[in-house]
Amino acid sequence: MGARVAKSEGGPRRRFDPWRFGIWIALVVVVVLLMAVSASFRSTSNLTNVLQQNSLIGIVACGMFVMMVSGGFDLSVGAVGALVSVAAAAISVDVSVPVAILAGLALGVFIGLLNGVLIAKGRINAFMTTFAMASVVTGVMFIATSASPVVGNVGFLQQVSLFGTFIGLPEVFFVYIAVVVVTWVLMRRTKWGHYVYSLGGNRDASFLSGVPVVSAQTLAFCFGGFMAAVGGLLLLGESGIGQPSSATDWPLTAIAICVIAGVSLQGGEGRVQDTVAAALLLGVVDNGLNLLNVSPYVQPTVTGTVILIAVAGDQISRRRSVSATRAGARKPLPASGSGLEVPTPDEQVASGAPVT
Amino acid sequence: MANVYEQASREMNANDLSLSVPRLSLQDISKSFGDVTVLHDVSMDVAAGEIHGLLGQNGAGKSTLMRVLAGGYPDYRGTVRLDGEVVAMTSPAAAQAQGIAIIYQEFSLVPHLTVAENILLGREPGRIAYSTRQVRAEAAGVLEKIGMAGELPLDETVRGLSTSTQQRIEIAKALSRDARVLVLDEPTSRLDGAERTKLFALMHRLAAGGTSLVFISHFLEEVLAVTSRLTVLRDGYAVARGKSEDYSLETLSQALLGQDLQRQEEAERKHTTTAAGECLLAARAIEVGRRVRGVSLELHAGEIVSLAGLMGSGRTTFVKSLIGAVKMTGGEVELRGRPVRLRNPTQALRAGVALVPEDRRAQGLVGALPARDNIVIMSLIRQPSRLGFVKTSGLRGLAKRAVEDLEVRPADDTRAASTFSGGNQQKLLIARAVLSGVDVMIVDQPTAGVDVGTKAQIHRILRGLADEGKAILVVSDEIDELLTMGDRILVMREGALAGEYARGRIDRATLIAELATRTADAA
Repeated sequence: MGARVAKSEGGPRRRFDPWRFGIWIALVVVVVLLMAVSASFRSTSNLTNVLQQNSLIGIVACGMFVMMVSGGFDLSVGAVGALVSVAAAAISVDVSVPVAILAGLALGVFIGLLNGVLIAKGRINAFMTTFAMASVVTGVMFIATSASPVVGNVGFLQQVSLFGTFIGLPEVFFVYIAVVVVTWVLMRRTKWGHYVYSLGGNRDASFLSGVPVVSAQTLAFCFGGFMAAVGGLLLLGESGIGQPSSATDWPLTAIAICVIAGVSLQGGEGRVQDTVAAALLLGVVDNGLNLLNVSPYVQPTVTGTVILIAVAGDQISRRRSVSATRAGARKPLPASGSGLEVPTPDEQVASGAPVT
Repeated sequence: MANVYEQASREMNANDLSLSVPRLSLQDISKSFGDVTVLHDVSMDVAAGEIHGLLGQNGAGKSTLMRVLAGGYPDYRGTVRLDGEVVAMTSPAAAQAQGIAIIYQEFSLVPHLTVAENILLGREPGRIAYSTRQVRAEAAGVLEKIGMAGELPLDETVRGLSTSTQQRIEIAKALSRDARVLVLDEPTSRLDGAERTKLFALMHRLAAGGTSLVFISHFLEEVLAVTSRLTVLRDGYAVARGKSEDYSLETLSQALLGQDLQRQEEAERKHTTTAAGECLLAARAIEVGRRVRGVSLELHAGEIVSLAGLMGSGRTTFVKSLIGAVKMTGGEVELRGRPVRLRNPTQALRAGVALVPEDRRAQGLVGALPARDNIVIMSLIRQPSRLGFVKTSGLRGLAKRAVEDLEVRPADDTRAASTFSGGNQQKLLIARAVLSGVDVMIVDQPTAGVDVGTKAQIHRILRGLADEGKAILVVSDEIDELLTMGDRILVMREGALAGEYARGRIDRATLIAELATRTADAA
């Protein structure tokens, strides 16, 4: 009773904003348009195909989502995916499939841990850290395999990522949905997830408030590495071989999905459920262009245009919500830390040469 | 000057006897950086439930003193006692654990989280699971406990909230962590009149509840009105201390400044109007949507015109429209009698009109670049380039001279702009406009957050520029500044000009009344 009264005082957290569902509306519009113009698009087999083909990158994007909310991102997810697929292929032949899966996941978490420690504890720029890490991982993999594919023995993975269906939908899509739900629960219903949002929003303020920022962000990168490894295993399932030169487009596609979904590159905000719509939107556009016999040379331009439109729309909606809330705020505040660590200009002047 | 020191030490002794065990007691705190000592045996007591004022110009040592208290300088000398117990301020965490909370001018909140989430940040209930509802309920409970129940919009995201609300969130957050001593660093500098009153009410309530507050402010009237006792720092010494009621504005500013500067300030006021020269800029019936409605003014060579107006009066929009930063929807501008159309600040600059913007950090300087690069940037834009290449060697020398002429301290034009104090950053901004050779300068809030000494200096600089034949438009919140600086004073209200007065034809009270009419209308 008391809680309910208190709640009504506070009012709703946000007014209804159609822009908030913009990405879903865009998805629906594109799907309806394609259904109208293309008979082959609206066939059941094609639609399940779209789900099957885009679940994998969607899963990788869930990992990317968490890392981006923490204020970072990861350019090594592709290298990790390829490494995991190669390693798991080799182990699945030499040892067994369950061991291959566990080892692959562990490998992903391990590389995520390295990234996380360097970024969160070492305070090294995420771009450089993960860019270099991708290089290192790819190099090691090329040395180990002489850059040739490794054939795996992966009946189970193949079943999950390629052939399996459940109530008419591909099994891998259910894996994707499960990953989204788990990510949502972790981000919205655990203290760790809350800390990832908070440290992405203002790291210094979070640190001074007692948030364990280093471990929370490190864990975010472990999670990202884990999801990259899941992607790598599913990739192995799709092709049956571990291909060292695969998955190079993952990092940028996953980041694009998150940005289209409204995840800020600065961190601190975003909704994982929206990345589903973004992943499917990119997939549907790709698929539709193929079916409409659009030249593959034109396709990247169209995809790029979609990304630009989505990002511009997001920016517009952000400006609107800012100007709507600006009424009370006289000046936007720089959301910096309290300045305990960094001396203020006045202080430095005082320390160097007192001014009177 | 000697008698100020004597008076101060007499009062110190008297007050030390009259106090029982103070909540916070700083004894002989000293702090040096290398050879430079910035605090010399400063002592200060704050009783439980007291609001204590801490005053001093920039560089006087108050930020250093507060940083010692915050645990930011573990190598201080002297003793800090809390409720009689000696405590070592070795780290920010230690200071927080002892119940010291400092509310800085720049808040330390997470913009994307809700108010409730910010208050409880780092101390959410539960071990692993996180529940929005629980956090909200607990935050409401916390507010109740500290006597601020229902005063904050718990479910709103912090990002869109006003400065004053964010400040209250910071205060609530600190109190919910059992702060015994709350230090407010310049808390009123970004609040309007009504918000200030609200803040003072909250401060008094907290003090009545037993919290000790240290109130740092440049506004002497505020300090006198709000605090029960105060300490004044100058050059790292505690030069005055005592009951606030024993001080007047005069004695307090004497203690702050010493006597020399005081006289300069007064001389400044007596400056007589110089004959105005050629009309350099004429604005006729400027309109910007509904925010600026038909404002006209003329700026003549050799004069300073003050533009007064409250927040929301449209004055900042108006001056921005003059340089093309905001699009005019009506009206026209003439420069030296020739009609011009200025579509953006670059064109304005080329035509000889420069804005010295408010908010030095956000709109003014490129903090990471050296001072000299900041200073020359406007000149580069005005200088004719050869295929985009410019000569910087000559400009560098001019920048160095400008730094010397305007007495920027430290006089090192290679230091990053962000490392200068507020007042000196302001001088860099003025130097930037001056060096570019424009003849119309629009100066928005030239001395916001600047200490009294530097403020007088900036006023002298501006007057000097006018004497050289420039036309200067000063926009400010500060009544005294407007009255001191302006050869003419224009009042803007609700987007339109409400009055124009020659120097000396309007006094403080009238001007305040002129401005406040709008507030009355709005309310």
